[in-house]
Amino acid sequence: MTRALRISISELSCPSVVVLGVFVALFSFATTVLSQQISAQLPQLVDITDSTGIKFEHLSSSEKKYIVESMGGGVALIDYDRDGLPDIYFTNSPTVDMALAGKKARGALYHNNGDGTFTDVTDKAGVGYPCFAMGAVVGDYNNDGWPDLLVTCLGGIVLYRNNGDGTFTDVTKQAGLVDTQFAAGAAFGDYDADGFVDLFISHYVDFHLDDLPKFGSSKTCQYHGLAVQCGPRGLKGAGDLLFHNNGDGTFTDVSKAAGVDDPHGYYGLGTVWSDFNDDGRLDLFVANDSTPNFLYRNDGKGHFTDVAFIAGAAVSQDGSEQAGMGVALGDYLHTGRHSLFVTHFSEEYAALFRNDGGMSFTDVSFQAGVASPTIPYVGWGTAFFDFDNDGWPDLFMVNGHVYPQVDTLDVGARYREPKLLFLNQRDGTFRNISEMAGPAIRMPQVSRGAAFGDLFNDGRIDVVVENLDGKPLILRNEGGNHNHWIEFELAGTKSNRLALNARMKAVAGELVQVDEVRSGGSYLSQNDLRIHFGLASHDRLDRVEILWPSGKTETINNLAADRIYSVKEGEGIVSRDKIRPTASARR
Amino acid sequence: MISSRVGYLTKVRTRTFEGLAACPLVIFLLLSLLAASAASGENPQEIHRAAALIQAGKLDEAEALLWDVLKQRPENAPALNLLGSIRLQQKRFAESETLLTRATSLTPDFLPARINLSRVFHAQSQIDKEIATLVEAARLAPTDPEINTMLAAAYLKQNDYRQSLEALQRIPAARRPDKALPLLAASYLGLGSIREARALVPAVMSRAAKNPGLLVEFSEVLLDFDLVPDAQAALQIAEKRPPLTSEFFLAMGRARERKGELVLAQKNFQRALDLDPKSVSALQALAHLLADQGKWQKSMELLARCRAISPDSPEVLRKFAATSLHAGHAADAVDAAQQLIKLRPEEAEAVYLLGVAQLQNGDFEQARSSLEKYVKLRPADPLALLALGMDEVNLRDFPAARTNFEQCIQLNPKQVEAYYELGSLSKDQGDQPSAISYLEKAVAIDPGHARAQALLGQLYLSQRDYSKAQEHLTRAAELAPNVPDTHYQLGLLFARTNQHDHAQKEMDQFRKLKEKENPGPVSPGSAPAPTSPPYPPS
Repeated sequence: MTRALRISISELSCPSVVVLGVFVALFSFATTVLSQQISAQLPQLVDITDSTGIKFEHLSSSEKKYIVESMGGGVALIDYDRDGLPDIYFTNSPTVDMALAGKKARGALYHNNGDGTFTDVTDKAGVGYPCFAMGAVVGDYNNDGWPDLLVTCLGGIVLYRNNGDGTFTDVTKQAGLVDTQFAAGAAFGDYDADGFVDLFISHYVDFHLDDLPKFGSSKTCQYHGLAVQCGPRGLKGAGDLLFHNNGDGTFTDVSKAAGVDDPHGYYGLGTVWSDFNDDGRLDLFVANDSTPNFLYRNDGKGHFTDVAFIAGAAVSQDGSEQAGMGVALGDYLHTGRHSLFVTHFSEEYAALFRNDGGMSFTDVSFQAGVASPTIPYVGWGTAFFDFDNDGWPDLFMVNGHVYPQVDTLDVGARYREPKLLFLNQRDGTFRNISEMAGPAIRMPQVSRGAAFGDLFNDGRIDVVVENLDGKPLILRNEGGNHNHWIEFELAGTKSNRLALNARMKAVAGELVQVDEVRSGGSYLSQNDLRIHFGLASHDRLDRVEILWPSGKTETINNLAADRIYSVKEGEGIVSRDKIRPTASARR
Repeated sequence: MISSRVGYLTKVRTRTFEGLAACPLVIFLLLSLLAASAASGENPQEIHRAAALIQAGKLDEAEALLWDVLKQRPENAPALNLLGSIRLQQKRFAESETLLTRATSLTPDFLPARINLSRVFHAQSQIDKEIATLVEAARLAPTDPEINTMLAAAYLKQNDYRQSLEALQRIPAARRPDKALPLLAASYLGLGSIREARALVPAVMSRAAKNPGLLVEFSEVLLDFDLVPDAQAALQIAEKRPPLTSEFFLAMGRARERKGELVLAQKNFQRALDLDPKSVSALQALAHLLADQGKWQKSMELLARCRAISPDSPEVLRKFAATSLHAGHAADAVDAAQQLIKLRPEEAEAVYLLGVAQLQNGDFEQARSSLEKYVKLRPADPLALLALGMDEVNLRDFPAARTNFEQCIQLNPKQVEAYYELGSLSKDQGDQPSAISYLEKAVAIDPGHARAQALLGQLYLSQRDYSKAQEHLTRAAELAPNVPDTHYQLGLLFARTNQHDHAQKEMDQFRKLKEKENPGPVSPGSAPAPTSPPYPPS
């Protein structure tokens, strides 16, 4: 009962108390019944981690004395063997003390066995020790059809070429990917539409193990008067990098010429490519921590202009810089435009920037009902995904504070925090259903990366969460309604091979949805590259229109629901075999 | 806010008896000595010696001697009185009160014990008890100049000018002490009898030949009642009779402050402080002057000096806490308010001050407790409900916050800040129509409320009502041109309406102001609250 109600009761005479009591009881009963009804229709996100055979644990220091120890934990879904099942790559990073002692942390690649279990194939794949890892994204830089893995690190990046035989080779140097900074976010995208994916890397702070900022040493190393790790404020930032893919297995640094080098050194994290203004050119969004976000409009001819302020996506609705962490894109309003959702630090709110078209965004976080519930938490990995297959993208975000010391403070915040799930109400608002989707998401953890995809090819989107302290969390989407769905795996021919940033418009009766294949996003993580649409009660898809990165459009009609389709650019629906590369395939 | 008056009446209301008698302790000790001999006739030598030791500041020795007397004769009223006076000096008020009450009950007509008892109440600002004790003393000695002067001063603390005048009029004119004259003037002026007050001038002038300070005190009274030219005339006479004291410059400064001559006033206050670096009055006057100019930090520093000099002065603690809040030192405000609460646990203003300081310091749970206590004490105070609502917003207890804001409006339908808070709360809860409705009411009550205008403009912008958005945002920018957010919203507005040059200009202005606002790094969680709670009245 709320405090206001208690006041009202105390002011009423006895008969009124009885009357009000009855009303309250009825109201509570009605609310409970309604919640139970909704809950019964909703799927549950069930913790299946223990049964998957995944034993990975992210290394962590107890005190998190340095910011670099709080920022990692990206996770990638990568179908590295192209068997049609997303596999999982967990990044790992040592503590600073370990790193100074020359010790490394082992990342882990888990093969999806298709039966609910996973097998650790890290050693065979050769991806266990890339670096002091932060995050990972997927792209096919050489268009051979085998998804490659890019790991961001303290000290640069590592590009693993997928050899197509279950192994990877570190080709960073030979690809010309020179980076020595604290790389955080990354995303592949073909900004010049030449058919080869380019690579953007956001950098966080200028941080070096041989020059460590002293814990609690200055104002920017304190939180509510408590000594904590330093940064990002007070630390020097680091510019960002854009590598143009030369199409021959090498890249060229074009950051400055393209105008995306971030000379002011904002604290870059979540990164995503998308054509925000529907002009046929890929634009770029970078969530910056404690500094304004970047929204780079692609002007063509290899140049970008930051229009974030004018577009209304740089800062919060009241003009305040926020601590941008993770980023999600989704057409939650069915307008055909992708809006932005950016997770932030506690005492701020996770911001929903509605895409109004024409490179114009409006912060509708409060109107949409996602601001208030997010204020207490430090948010990270996030995505729009159709949790209940009703055809409307819902929202999920994982949380966890950066300062373990916060547990000693009486400021309401805790180091371990629950996750949040918002159900799309189809009217521009969301309902916080975190209490209705199973106990697993209420479990407080120190989460960072989150990757979303159909792990078991059952048409339901599952979630893989990488936690900074301890084991990950595999959430299987189970139960609830029997809504229909459809999924697409795209393969470019003229376009880049993984069809990154291909757009699909799916029409099923009154349901008209748009989604896009994307590299990166969430928080330093990679989602399933397949596109998934919930279809509610529709058992067929009337039509799907594909806008390929090459500019070509393709329409496919009348598809049965509850299946995964493979689409090859220019050929329509094909069998999976036709898009699966051969081991020797190179282009 | 700091009281605008640091004048004679304020001093009368706040200070101990040092201003009314050159050395009251000596007087009452002597009185007690005389009375001791008369009243008891027992152990006169020991009592005499103990009084001498107290006068010499040898309290321990005096106490030992008095305990020896009391062991033999526990009902020795003079010994109890002296021991009570020692406890008073030691600020052990409860013990002092017990001893002195015992002395007066043993010997009801023992005047020194009653006077000392009144001082105990005075020191604890228990004015009703002080007056009751002095009335009883005056019954025993109806024309006593000291007792009636003290009684008049006590009545003045309650603004009871008639009783004050009656007490002073009981003193035969020939025996009227110098210090009674300013009190008499204050009593007349309080009753609106300016002519009678002015009629005291010849007497003041006559006595000022021997007591130049009297002119200053008299002028202070005149200043208290806004008779600035009269006060200045008195001070001009005093100026010709050096040496000029700290009090003179303080009064001169106050006169100039009233006339708006702030630079000269500040110089006078500084001079007063130079002459008496421990003058709490001068420090407070200077602090007030600086606070009026928005120099809160400097004002706070001066009040910190006052605190060091008079650590237990409720008045100083109150002002220090309030000024600290304005200066952005909420933790210091909490500290002072907590000390004030220890001294005045049931004082409503102290509770409110503590609550607001805790709110500003981010101690939201504690603030709720304090503010709820205050609301119980003063349920009809709309500002308290407003502050409580603001605290509850921070505690994310939105229903309770809404209730308090609404109750605040019921008590004061013109409370614009409550409408603003309700608008802001509604906006945060996604209810834009309600938010707009509340904010429209806010700007109807006060079109000069820049934050309400800005938020209203932002909401209209969000609703794509560009005409209304421009109206309110432009007004907000006129009212508060240096608020970055307003320029950000205007930038967005112009971008939406394809006025790209204007948009760029506003965004440039936004960035410029933002850089100015945050020149250095700020750690997470250290940002100040966007809206200040209603600060306590002075």
